[in-house]
Amino acid sequence: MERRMFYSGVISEREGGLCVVGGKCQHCGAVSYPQKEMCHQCASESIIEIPLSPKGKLYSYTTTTRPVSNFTPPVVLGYVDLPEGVRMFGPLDLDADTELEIGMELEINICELWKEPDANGDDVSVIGYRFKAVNQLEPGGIRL
Amino acid sequence: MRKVYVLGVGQSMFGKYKELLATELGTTAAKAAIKDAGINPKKIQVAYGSRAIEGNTAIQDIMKNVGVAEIEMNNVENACGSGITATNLLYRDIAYGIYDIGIAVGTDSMSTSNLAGKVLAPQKDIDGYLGISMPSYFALIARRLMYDYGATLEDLAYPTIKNHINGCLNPYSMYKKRLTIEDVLASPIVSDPIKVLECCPSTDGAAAVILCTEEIARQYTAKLIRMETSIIRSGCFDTPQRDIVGDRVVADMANASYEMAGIGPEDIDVIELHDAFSPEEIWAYETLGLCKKGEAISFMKSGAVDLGGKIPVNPSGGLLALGHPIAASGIRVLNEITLQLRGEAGEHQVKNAKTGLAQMVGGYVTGLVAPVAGGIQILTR
Repeated sequence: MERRMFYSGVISEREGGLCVVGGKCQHCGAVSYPQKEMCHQCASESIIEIPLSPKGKLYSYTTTTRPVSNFTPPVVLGYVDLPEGVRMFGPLDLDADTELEIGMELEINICELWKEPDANGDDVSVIGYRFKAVNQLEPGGIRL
Repeated sequence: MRKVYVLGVGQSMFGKYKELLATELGTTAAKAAIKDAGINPKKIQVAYGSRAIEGNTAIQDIMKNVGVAEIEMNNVENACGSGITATNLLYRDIAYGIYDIGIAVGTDSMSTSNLAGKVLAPQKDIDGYLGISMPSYFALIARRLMYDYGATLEDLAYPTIKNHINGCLNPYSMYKKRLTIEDVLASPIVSDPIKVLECCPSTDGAAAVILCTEEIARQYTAKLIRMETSIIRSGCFDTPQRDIVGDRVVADMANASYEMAGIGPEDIDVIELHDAFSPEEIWAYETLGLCKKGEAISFMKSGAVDLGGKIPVNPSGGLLALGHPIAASGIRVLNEITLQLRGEAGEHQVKNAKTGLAQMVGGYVTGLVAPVAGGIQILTR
């Protein structure tokens, strides 16, 4: 099946597989996600792509009961703080018996978000990420 | 810089009007403001229109219905901040001597738009694709209000209960029904912990305001209501591990406004602000400097922001009860403060209001601290 990234410039193929990438300013060190073209701190254009840590801490969470994006509710959503100082948002993909707790460690799981038809009506797999508990089995996870 | 005065205010009924176009609602509001001002509309020199959904020729379309064409007209879009952005530009035109009198009209027909029945979410935005929507965004903050501040579900419901009481006293209000705490807590979850009765409705409606110089104002009215300050700011860049309860940009705007007006938050008699979601009003008390950080919940429970309290917030019923046609709200809050200062707010009048503050915010963009568009205006009698 064809696949496309849900958003450009945020998931990159690096050794070991796909990973989420941000930008690091070589002038002042500020890290941004998504990567900016000019640094948000000093406006320098010397920004390099860096892989972001695959793990972070849950900062807040909510479960929406309304359809959002191309998801069918209920959808558990959260903010996750990465050690680089960026706060990511995304859907949480947790086992039924995992309790949500602010501060818990979560892992980025690059996976299919949804399928959509292309111009010919064939299915395209749209790749993005969800957060899962560390050591949780990842049935939807994607290696290379 | 010249002084700027509010000459006329008007609005349409707020509700669901599938048979009315946004421009028809806007025309109703514009006519009402013109009548309130008591001027011939052909005196209007500039017009700003705001319509957050589906409208890039809204103001020309509205003004033609009240006998005005050909003058400079601008359509302004800034999410929920559209209306206050329109009035800010008008204020600036008059303050800096570009024009002497103008009108701003904000209108939205949510029920006939492509957003009908859907939650508001940023379009073509990375977090938008990942599932963020406005109720969820505010729910994520409300969760931290519970975690860091100890807010209970009952605390989160307080503003919507208060504002629905106020809405019963406002003839324009979409909802004129009191809510009990049981009603609110039993209502379905939209994005937990936020429930249906803690969300503003999807509303159709419009509001309009006419601003002018002191010289013109004195020709038409003895009730001189002056717009002392008008500031617009945008969301700042996010910072590591930021405390999401509270809004530094809005706090800075409030402090700058107080300084410009030569007052402090204790001098404000009445406030209208963005209460799209009930918990949001709670941290706004701290953001606007009404109480110290960490004290918002006890401040609220003391009755301070009730209609009869020390500093009533949203006596109109707010977005929660009066309703929230997106682009109209930024003008509607200004209009409410004007009516309060004139002593024309009827059953929801705040006694002896002399100084009022209107705040409106909105918008979500990944990478910036939402709301990304916002404004504050201080009015005095």
